[in-house]
Amino acid sequence: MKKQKQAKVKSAFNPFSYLRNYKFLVFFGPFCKALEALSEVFAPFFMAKIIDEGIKNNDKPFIIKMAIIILAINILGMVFAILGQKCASVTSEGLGKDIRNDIFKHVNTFSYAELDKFSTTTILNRSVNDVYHIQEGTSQILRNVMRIPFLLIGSLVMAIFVDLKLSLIFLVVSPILLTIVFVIMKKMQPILTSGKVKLDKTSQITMENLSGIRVVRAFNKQNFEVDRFTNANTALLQNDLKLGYLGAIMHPLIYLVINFAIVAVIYFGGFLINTGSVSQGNLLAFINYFSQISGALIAFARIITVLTRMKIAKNRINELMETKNSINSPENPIKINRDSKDFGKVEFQNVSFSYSNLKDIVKDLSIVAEPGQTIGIIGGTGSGKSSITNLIPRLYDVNKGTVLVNGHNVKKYKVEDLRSLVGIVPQNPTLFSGTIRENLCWRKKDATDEELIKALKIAQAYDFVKEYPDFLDHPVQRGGTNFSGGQKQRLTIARALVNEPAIIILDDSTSALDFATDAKLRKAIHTVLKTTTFIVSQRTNSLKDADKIIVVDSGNIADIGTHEELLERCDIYREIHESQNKKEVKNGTN
Amino acid sequence: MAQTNSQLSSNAVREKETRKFKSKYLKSKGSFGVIKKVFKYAKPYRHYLYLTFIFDLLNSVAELLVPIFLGKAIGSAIGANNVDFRAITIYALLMIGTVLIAAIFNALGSITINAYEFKATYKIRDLLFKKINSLPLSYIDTTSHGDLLSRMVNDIDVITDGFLSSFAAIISGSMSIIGTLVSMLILNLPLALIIIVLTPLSVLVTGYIVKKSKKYFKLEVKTQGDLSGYLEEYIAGERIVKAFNHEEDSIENFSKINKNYYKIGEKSQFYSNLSKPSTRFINGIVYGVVGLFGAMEAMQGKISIDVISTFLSYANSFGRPFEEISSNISDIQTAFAAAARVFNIIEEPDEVSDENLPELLDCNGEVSIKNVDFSYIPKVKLIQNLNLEVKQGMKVAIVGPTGCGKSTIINLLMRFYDVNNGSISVSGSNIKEITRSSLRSKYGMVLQETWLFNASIRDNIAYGNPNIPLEDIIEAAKLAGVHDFIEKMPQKYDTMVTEGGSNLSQGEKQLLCIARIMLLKPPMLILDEATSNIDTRTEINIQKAFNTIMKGRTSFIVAHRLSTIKDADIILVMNKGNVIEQGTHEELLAKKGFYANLYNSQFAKV
Repeated sequence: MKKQKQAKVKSAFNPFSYLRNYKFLVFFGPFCKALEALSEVFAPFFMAKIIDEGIKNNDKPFIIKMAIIILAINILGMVFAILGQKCASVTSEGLGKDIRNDIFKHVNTFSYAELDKFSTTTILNRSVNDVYHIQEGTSQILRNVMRIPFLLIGSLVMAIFVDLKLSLIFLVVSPILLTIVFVIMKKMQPILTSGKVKLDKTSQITMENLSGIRVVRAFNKQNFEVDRFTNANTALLQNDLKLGYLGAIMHPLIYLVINFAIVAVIYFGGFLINTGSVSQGNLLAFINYFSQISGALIAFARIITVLTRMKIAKNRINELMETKNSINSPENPIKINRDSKDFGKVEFQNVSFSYSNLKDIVKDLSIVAEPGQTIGIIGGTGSGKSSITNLIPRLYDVNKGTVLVNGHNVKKYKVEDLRSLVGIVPQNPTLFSGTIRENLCWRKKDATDEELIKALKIAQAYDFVKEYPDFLDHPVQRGGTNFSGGQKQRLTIARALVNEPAIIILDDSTSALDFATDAKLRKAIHTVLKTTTFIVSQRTNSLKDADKIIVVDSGNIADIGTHEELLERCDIYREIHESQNKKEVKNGTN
Repeated sequence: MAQTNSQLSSNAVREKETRKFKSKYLKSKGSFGVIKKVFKYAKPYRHYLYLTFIFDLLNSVAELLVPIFLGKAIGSAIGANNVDFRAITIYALLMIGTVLIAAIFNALGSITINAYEFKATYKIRDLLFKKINSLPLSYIDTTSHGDLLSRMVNDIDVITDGFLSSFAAIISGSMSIIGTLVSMLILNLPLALIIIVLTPLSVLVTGYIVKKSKKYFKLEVKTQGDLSGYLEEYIAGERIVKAFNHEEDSIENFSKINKNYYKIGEKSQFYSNLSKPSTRFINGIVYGVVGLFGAMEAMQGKISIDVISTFLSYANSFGRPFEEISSNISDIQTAFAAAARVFNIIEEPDEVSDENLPELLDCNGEVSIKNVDFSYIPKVKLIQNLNLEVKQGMKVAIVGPTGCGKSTIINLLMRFYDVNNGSISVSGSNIKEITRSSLRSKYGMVLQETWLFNASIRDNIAYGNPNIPLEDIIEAAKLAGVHDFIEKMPQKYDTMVTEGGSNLSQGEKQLLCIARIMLLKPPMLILDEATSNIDTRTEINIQKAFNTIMKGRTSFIVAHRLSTIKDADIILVMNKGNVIEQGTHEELLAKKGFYANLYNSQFAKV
């Protein structure tokens, strides 16, 4: 079904369309390789002349002349080979580069909804491995697309030129050879595929063991894990061996067929020599052409495998490239008016949202955050807290209702303009390798030291950053592994505060901070920045000063109100609050 | 775990890197040492290698006879009315016979070398995995997991491709080189000398190419690493990139790295693909020269045309093994690097053996920590002179600001790391004098980072004990308050947990991990911020379950929450890696020290 679709719709990704950037090389390369092939075809022809004419007539100068021709042809062949090779490597690697650039660009257009569909590893594999296969395939094709047909046709023509009847043997042998190659290739295909799956399984178990090493040891399950791995490893071995058997018979089978054919050539050739229609030297040349044709056929089969691999890679990349960004800027976006009295106002009007048409995770939410207000969101895991905040900078689009920022529907802004208003701190603190400065300058490339220090101070990160001798230029390792969880959270908060956003979203981003730091941080945001703030949290203590608190209960908005109002009337909220604070009361009476 | 890692400053990591670097060069005495090790690990399968030698030798002898018979057959057909059909028939039959023999031994040789290759790979992969499970945790904590995984997958693949497949080419290649040499020398000395002198030229040429490409090859691997690294980091962080409008910068940086990779890749591909045509070129020259001199000799009647024909095919086949071996050289070079990386891990020292130590049988839940000093890096002191007496059933809370090293205590209790000085005893036995497995089985541990593996929910709860009846598992799940949730899953207890548990929420994952402990009912518990990722309502349920399971059990809790801290029998207050205060809540408040400050700060008015 999928195939049919692909056949009808022009696929989004066609590796060969990238060849247009290398028009000259694409033609010149194979042209050189064709000339190289011709040089190979002509050598036996002159060799036959040496034997038939030179030796028979005892013509020494003739033999030397022919030998020099053979050497000259050979040198020309080498020159063309080098030229052809260069064209192929420049073209194929360049094509790989262009495709990788396009994939990366394309992935950067994805909205969150599209990113949900592909894991990081799959995008990574597609942009590295799959592109590599396409690159390899292109290189193979460029190097052989002309060489093989020229070798085949050239040898065939020369063979027919030597003797038509003998060359009929090719007609018998070629289909046999091709059948052998195709049958074996076909049998290999599924084994190759399952091998990939089995290899994945071993790496998965390895990864699980690395990440869970403490659990494995705490439960004393080292042996269990080794068994689990050995099973997967054995399955992989069996698969490899099966593949090995097929590979092991292919080569000898081809060798057999070719040599049996040569026997036939000699046998019938004998008759033809006897009648005088073929000379001894020609028979020798004929056998030489025979080996060349068989060689070309085998090379052809190899190209077929490369092409199949290339096709698989192409389909996988196509899947990425076909996926279209679902969140786009409108054609005539409205400008952001920083002087408007509504600047910083956020409003949800009857908003409902679900991930890819599953059950609504946000249902009929209506709330207004006036400029400078703080809105708290509390609720259970997976109850849709983060989803609410993701709708503000249009990381996802609503299914129903409207989200308004500064009094206008978010869909009316240019996406970039809208997002530049919002400083978001995600649940998982993600830092990028580089320096602290590079990480902080994401919202403003040319932020001054003063601006960065201000952000760090509000985020309660200044104290530890200033301890570094290289201060803002202190290196950040990949994934921020050289910082503790709390330090990472504070740095990601600082990153969101640079260039003073109109709206700040703290998505449960203080969980690794102790209560005191958390409190200081909230106070600083409130007093220094005075921006509209959304705080997602699981602690009622973090939210009690909010102007409004949304209580979410598995997709439903249970209640909206202030801390005191909610304690009064909302059971869920009270339950949460008491569970976090009841022991104090008890303690006080102790 | 994260905290453990952060304890090791980047300085220490660097120190470790240099140590590894040095040991790499001390351990493997160059390339020869690496090859020797490959053979050492493949030793159980060496009979396959011997068989391959025999099969390949027989194959090449048979293959060499073919051109001789071919030449003889052609020589029997001199011209019109001058064809010896009887001779042709005999040689044709001989050819068929030898071709069959050659084909059979060729297949057998491939099968045996494959078996050698794949089984050796299997063995090395297995050893590496076992190693991961026996290395000290300090090694795993300080080594990048991505790097270890890449050794398991990519490097071993490279070893297979590079060494083991090259063995096949080298063995069969050298067999046919030797065989061809011998038969050429027997047939005709001058012509043989021409081939012998000229063919190694191709080795020189390819040698030059290899040297050139080696440089680019190394660079290619490095730039590819840069590229993948960048992609991995930025695609994983793509959501942040989008939220911060950072796409353009990110694309621009990528295209720079990509361009660099292209430049290197283009050169590397050019040179490595050059070896084939250049061998063809040398072969072509040999072909021409053999033809020239052969014809000269023939004119003088010294040799017959059938010898020329045989030599022409030898000229072709003599060059082929050189071509094959030379095309493998770049693979072999990368394989050396890969093998060194793999063996470096396999040869890392294991955890100190506990094979001859007694088991800890009865455990009353008493833990005694005496004068313990500990640090991850010798220079950076952490825990100093820690003393703690924990009686049966006591609840010990470990508190302190973010990154204060609370996980260190767990590392020591579970003997993931050994103390530097002093001792820890459980039930009166020094934990260094009992087996690790018996010690660890006395603890039930729930870590901050949950861990589930790719299997059914049932298997995840039963973890490693396939014989546990479903009723027990359900009971444990009920105790953990996760039964109702599991019942709602599509296949209930048989629902598969996907890689990394991505089909479960953080809270659900943690509940499953708790159910795992509930099943074992160990005498002691370690709870590492176990509840910090779970929403409050779920937490209430878990707290209830914990209270049940904690009854009568000694428990250590890395705590964030007041409720857990206050009714603890002992509170350990940690800061900057060391335990700075201990006592009950009241004692510590009365002390007006660090804890009192920490405690009061949370009521500070915002």
